[in-house]
This record gives sequence, C-alpha cells and structure tokens, in this order.
Amino acid sequence: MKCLLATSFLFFAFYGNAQTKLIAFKSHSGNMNYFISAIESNSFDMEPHNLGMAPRKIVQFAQLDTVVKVNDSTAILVTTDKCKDEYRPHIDPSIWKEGTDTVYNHPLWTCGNKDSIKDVVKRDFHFSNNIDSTVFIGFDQIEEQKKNDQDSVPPVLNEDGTKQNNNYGIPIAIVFVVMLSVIIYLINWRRAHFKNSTFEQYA
Amino acid sequence: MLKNKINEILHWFALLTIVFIPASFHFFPFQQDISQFIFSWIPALFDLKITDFSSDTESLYTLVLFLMLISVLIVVAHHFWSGWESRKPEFLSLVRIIIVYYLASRLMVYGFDKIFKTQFYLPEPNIAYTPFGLMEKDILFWSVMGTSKLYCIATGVIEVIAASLLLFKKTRVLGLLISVGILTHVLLINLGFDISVKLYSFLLLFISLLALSPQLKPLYCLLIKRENVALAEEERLSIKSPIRKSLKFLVIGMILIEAIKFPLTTGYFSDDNLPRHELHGAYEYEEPSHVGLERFYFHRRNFLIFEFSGYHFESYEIKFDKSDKIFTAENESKDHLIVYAFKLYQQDEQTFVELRDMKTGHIIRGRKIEYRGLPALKDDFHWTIESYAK
Repeated sequence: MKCLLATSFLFFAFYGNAQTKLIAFKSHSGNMNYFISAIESNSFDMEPHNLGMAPRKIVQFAQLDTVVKVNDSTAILVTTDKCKDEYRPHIDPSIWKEGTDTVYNHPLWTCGNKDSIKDVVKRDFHFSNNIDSTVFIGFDQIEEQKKNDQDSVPPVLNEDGTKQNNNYGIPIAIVFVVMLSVIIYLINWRRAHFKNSTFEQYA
Repeated sequence: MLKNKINEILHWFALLTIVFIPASFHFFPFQQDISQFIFSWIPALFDLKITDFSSDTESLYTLVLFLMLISVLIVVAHHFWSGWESRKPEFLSLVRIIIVYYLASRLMVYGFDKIFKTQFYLPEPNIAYTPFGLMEKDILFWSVMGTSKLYCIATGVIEVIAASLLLFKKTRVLGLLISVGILTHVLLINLGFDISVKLYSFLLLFISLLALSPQLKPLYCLLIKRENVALAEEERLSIKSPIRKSLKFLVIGMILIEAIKFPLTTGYFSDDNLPRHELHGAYEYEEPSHVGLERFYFHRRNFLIFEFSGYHFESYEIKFDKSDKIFTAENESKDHLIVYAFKLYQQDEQTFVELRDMKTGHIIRGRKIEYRGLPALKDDFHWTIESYAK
C-alpha cells in the first residue's frame, strides 16, 4: 500500500495535462505575484508546460558518481543528471538534482554501510549507471550490516512487491515503424527492379 | 522582383521558425536547449525577466523578430551568390514540404491531445469551486472546454483528419484549406480569451498560408471566377521512389508515435480516467476555524490549496515522503514550509482526511466532497428541454 501510495502520486504528477505555463500556474490557484519567480526557478511545476501541448516531462535519470560520508549524520551525494524525455511514473525528478545533495540523518545514506547501500540502490533505485561504478568515500567496510529502513527510499515496486516494468510502448512502436519502412523500401525496390528488367527483356 | 524577394524572406523565416521555436518534440527534446544555447544572448541583451523561449514570453517575441531579421539578411546575402537563383525554386519547394510535414505533426499532436483529453483536461477541484467571475478568461476557457468530452474529441478528430490529409499529395490542398480554417479559429480563441499561445498560433497560421500560397491564385480562379483551371503541381522530394516511400512512411510513423504517446506510455485513452491519488479532491473543513479556512484541495500535480473565507486561495507545493504518509508543503514565497502527516479514514460512509502539522501538532480535519458530482462536471446530455426538468 505504501508503495502504491507513493508511486501513484508520482504517477499522476507525470502524465500531464497540456497547458501553457500561465494556465498551469492558475490551475492550482497560484498567486500571480510569484509567477515570474516560479518560471525563473522552474519551480511550482512550471517546466513541463508550453504551447498548450501535452507536457514533455524532463525526467532526471541521475547518475550517482560519488557518495561521501562526512560523519554519522551527514553524507554528500554527487550526481550527474541525464535528461530524458520519458514518461516514467515511478521516477520523481525532484528526488535527485544535478550536482551535490547533502543528506542528514538519512536511514540509508548515513546509517548504512557501503555494501548495504549498494544492495538497496540496486534493488530500489533507478540510477542510470551501475552502482558498482560509484565511488564511496569515508565508508568503513563493516561486515555486520545494519538493518536499513527500506521504506525510507523511493520505492519503485508494485503493491505486490514485484519490480515495475519499464514502459516499452514507445520503443516497440518505433521498432515496428522502422521495420515496416524497411519492408516498404524493399518491396518498392524489387518492384522497380522487376519493371526495369522486364522492360529490357522486351526492348 | 520585390515580390519574389519577400516570398523568399518568408520561406526562410518559416524554416528558421520551425527549427528554432521550441516545440515539445518527443523525438527531438533538445530543441529548447539548442535555441537557448544559440540565442541566450537575446534575453540578456534586452534584460528580459523570463529568459527561456516559452509560449508568449517577451524572449520568444524577440527571438521571432530576430529570426525575421536573419531571414532578411540571408536574402540580401544571396544577392552576392550567383549560383543561388538556379537553386532557389528547389529550395522553396523543399521548405514547403518541410512546412507541410511540420504542420501535420503539430495538428496531429494537438488533435490527439484533445482526443485523449490531455489538452483540455477535467478541471481540478480548486478550479471547480472557484466562482466563475473570479477566474481570468484563459483558465476559464480551458476549464470549460475540459468539461465536455464530446467537444474535445470532435475537435481533435477534425484536427487529426486535417493532419492526415496534409500527408498525401492528392489531398494536401484540401488539408491545407481545413488547416487554415482550424488555425484561424485557434488564433481567434487565443486572442479572444487571452490565452498565452497567441504568437505560436499566429506562426502556425502563417506557415499554413505560406504552404498554400502556390494554390491561392488557381483557387481564386476556380472558386470565385469559376474558371476551369488546374491546381499547381504539388512538390515532392527528388529522390528515388523506393527510398522516398520508405522515408515517408518512417516520418509519418514517427509523427503518429509522437502524437499517441499518451496511451502508449500510460495504457489509458482518456486523461479523465487516469488514476488520481487517494488524497486528490476537495475537502470541507470540519472544525470552525479562527483563520477562516473553509476548504482545502489536493491538486493532481502535487499541490495543496487552502481556501479561506472570501475566496482567498493559498497554494502550497507538496513533496511526499515515500514511507510514512508524510509530505512537506511549501508556499509560493518559499518562506513557509510545513511538514504534514496525513491520515485518510472512513466514518459514517464519508471519507475524511486528517493533516497533522508535525511541528506544532495542529490538526486540520476535512470531509471529502465528491467534486465530480458538481453540475459543471457531470457528463449530462439532453435532447429535449423537458428532460432538464426531470
């Protein structure tokens, strides 16, 4: 239920209703005194809206480069954003911002050890890079793993605990269109070739 | 001579507009970044408030004027290139083909956005409870359109038909004529209801008229003078037939995928049916409040909106903690952050929500109102006036 709750809110945060920035702002009864600052800072859901079309939601597929453990309560995450124009309901672009994020008293990043963090990240996170390529600084290699609070990380699981499938609708459609266009080319080429050879035969 | 030069300038301007005015392309999401990278000095030069080239910003108007200036300079530069005149007809023809496909892609996208109800979406609860006279014309128009499924689907289908007609040589002129009609109507709506897509809709109308320009004279002779004339020959790319057909299919396929990405990615055919979060909706404030709180609303795009007496609304952006039913709510001036724990429960067949301020312990309790049952949001239809009275 928790997972469903968390992901479902993200879900409708991602599938958008087309509008202009101004209408998007007015739709949540925004105070016009803050409209310009909302656009400038790309906050208050301003970014995806333009020209009254369905929004092109920029999803930040973060690459986790480095995790620095400062002390028992503080850790610094160094991330690189990979912007992709995908509608992925289970990834919240607000979770990871490009650059460095400092987290305090986080049950995973400050209380876990290197190995347990890797396990959780592999299972529950969607970083674009392999976690094994991430550099961990300041973490002790403690054999005994602390039990992490799994719920404190952004869940990407279905209610039944299975991993969500990524949406392959668009890639499949693209492959289908490309294959058909190749087939159309081959049919037309063969037809043209056959016409020419027949003409030469009777000429 | 001058007429030819103006025609050339307009073709260059249309091409530059298509390339640099950032539209939301799924297959080319970097258009905004490219335009921003090349022309970011324009807003800086004029010290404009909003620096990105989004719909109807001063930056976009300035960019369009600058593109017009570049078009003039290009045509002037052609004066010094002797080989240009022989290549010009081919270039103009190519630009018109690009325009037609661009126009088809835009109409297809807007059309399917209407069909899937992602453009004119169902009004949010806070809008549904805002009095008619307190809303500006743009949000009012957008919301009213969103209440009618039939109108959205019908207008969307017309746009998709026009786009489809544009894609084939035989039906292109008819497609352009319908497109001009549609885009004139769209421009009038944007001007009349003060909707901030004025410039872009004007540009779309302009390029549709430009694509139709070779046919204007024959159409005038045919329709007004009633002369027996043939329409101008439609342009086509001068490449081998098998490649052209294959390329055309590929482009049409991509345009179609771009347009129907909503059902492809969600599995739903109407935005109205897309699942909302259980919190989403309108809530009547339960206890009498000293601050005059009357209702609060959860907006689908992660906003909590408080309504105080006298129809005063305050909007907070919310971010959910992924575990404990906790969210942070930040106001627009970004100087007030509240952390709420929330609880939904049923009582006497009614749904209630309890928001507890984690810092002060203050509790806000609200009763959920079925806002979709409001008269404006009902999908009623009456053939006769008597049926209203039943």
